[in-house]
Amino acid sequence: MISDRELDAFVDGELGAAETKRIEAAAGADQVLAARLERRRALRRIVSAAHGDALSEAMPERLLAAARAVTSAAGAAEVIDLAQARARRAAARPWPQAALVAASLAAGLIAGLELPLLRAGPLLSSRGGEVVAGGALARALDDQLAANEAGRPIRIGVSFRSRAGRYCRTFRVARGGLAGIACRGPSGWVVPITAATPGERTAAGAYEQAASPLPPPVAETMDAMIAGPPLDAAGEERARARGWR
Amino acid sequence: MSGTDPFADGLTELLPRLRRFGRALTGDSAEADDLVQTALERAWARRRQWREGTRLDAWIFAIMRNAWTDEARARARRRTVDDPDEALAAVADPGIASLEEKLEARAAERALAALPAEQRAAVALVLIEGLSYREAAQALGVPEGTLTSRLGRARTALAERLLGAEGA
Repeated sequence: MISDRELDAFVDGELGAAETKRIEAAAGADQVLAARLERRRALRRIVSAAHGDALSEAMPERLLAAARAVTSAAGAAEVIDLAQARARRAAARPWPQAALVAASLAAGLIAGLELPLLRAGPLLSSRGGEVVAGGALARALDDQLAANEAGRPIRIGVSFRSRAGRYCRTFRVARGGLAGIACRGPSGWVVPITAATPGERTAAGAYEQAASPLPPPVAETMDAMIAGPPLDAAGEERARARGWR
Repeated sequence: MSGTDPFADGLTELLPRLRRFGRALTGDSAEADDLVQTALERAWARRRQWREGTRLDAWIFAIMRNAWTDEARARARRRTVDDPDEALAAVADPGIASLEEKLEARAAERALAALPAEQRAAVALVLIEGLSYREAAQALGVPEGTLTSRLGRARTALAERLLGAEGA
């Protein structure tokens, strides 16, 4: 008599070659045993499909950033408290973390910016746990092409498709000392990461120079997010024509 | 495109499976993502504890499992009651080919959610994530015999729910 435990181990691939052969041979000669085996195979097949959706769904940018230990905020890594996170979801309020980030970024930005840039509203704000681009930044992301960026207050660096299938663009607020990535979601540009760009503000006129390299956290995040090569000029124009969707 | 750090690359590649394991543990996709993020942060903080050449997936599954245990304890203290059916209804479901398969997967998820937490973790590691008994026992910090008896009890309950009584 072959025990249930042995059959389970057989189905789980835990038996050695000799035992595997023995059970296969026995099942070939015994219909009851074959049925017991088939039942276990069916169970394993059904159960193994549970939560399989997770394998094909779009990956949230915050998890891509966390896998690379890139903080999505300008400050130090903040460990999420699961209980607090749930309480916040339940209350349907934006996460304090995101709100803080947005507030600190806005404050940091204003110091170095000429006022017209903010006339259309804050460049970054918090919505539903995410930092979203607004005002002049959202407009630049919508309209500007990466080429021909000289002299603009907001410059677009690279446009690319993320692994999550979204259009993303790196940006730099020339006088704000800030660079980041924005990805076009269903209801606007979500900003998974920003970083300070030291040096630009201290050296007078430096912001007029051609694109300097992205801050390492932004470059690394882009590396983690990008699927395939960046868009070329024609690709960018096509994406813009489709509203980056 | 990938970076130059094998640890970061490894974690990035594992992300979809970490989310799946998180959903199997929590039964809720938003909660699962928070759990994954917490585990990734802990993984980076303890990076030196991971020995290269050993399975990164088993290592971070263990971290996730522990993070979830901490959370479950805290939750028990707060005595909040979650409705697993409601939580499962929130899980999005594109990507599975046929309607029949979809229904089957939902049924498996419900059956899984009805198991005691210890059995659920054992099933997720062995039947869903494909770890060996030895690896799964290590990830859960229990002897192999404990793991297989949990699996055995879980299978009995799952089979009853998903396949009906034996011999029927």
